[in-house]
Amino acid sequence: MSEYFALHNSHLTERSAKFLSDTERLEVQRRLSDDNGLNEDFKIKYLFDAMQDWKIWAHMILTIGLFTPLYSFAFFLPTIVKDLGYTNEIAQLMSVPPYVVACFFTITGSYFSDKVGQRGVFMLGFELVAIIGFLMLVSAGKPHIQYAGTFFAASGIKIPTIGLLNLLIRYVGIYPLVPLIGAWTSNNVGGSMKRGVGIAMQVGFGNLGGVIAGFVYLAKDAPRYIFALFSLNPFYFSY
Amino acid sequence: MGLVHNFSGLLACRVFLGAAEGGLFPGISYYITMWYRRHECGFRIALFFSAATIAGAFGGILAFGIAKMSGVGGKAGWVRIPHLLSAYFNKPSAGHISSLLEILVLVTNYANKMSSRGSSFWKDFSPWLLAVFHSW
Repeated sequence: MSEYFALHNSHLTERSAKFLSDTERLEVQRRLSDDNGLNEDFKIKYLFDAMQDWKIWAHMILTIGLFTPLYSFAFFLPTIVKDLGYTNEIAQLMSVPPYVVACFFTITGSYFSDKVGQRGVFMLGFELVAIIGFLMLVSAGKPHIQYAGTFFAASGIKIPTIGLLNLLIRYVGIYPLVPLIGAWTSNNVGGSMKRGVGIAMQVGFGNLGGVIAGFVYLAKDAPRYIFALFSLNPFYFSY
Repeated sequence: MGLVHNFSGLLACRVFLGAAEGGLFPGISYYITMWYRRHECGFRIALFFSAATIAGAFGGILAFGIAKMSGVGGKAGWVRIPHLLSAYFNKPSAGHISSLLEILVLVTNYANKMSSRGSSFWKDFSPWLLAVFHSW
């Protein structure tokens, strides 16, 4: 719905932006039409066009498979880190490094994806990293049993090195996929309005993954994520 | 959310939060595609989304501090979240208060002092009043 209002709001388009001079406006328009000279009209037909496009639906399914583990991380990271053997407040602090590393790979991954002009290959790469991370988790069983023996000599604090590494691997595998799939969908849907609706459908449906994550992880059903991840791959190859 | 006392209240707040916030990611992605060529979109969307990961990192740091404040003023730690918001919107008028950290410390201290000695009404509303007054 918010997306619908965004479509109506033309203040931020290059046509009406006040901070552009006329020359700059022309240059922006030239660049865009050079790249993607498709219809910018607002017609309700394009909404139905988007809803009937199977490729957008495929991307919606990809996105929900991706957002489910993503949300499960966001919701349960403190719990997961606690399971690794950290106490309450330190657990909160230890939730910081995975995000920092994920941030780095998110930006560099998409940067090179733009340079190379490929999205799917990069997604498959990160997907592979994520699958390795989840397989590590499943084969290791309960993390605190597996890793509690490792000590960090200098501080005397229990550092579950492998567990934390596994956490990092999973973050590196999952987070960079979000802008990649977002860019992929929006790149391939032509026409301003159809693209807007397509992005909204994709992200809106993907956010339902948050509902799945909320129920799945409570049951400590980690293999479920593997299933979700593997079920994505046929869709990648279909492109 | 700092004012609710039960699950249904929290749920109602979250529904409105979701309705207001839901369009953000698709909306920003959409705007990016209206300004940049296709091979430029990925990096821009990644920069935008990486803010979510940075927020996650800061969330961990803030949660560390909020957990430390649990029980202060007779409230659970998470009630301090509006306090932190009020600190964020505070525009310092005094020139010597320079860093964001100093502002955070000052405002949360002030909010604590106020909420621990005031009436229950003041206790409940102080974070929001502070947010309004300090962002004036």
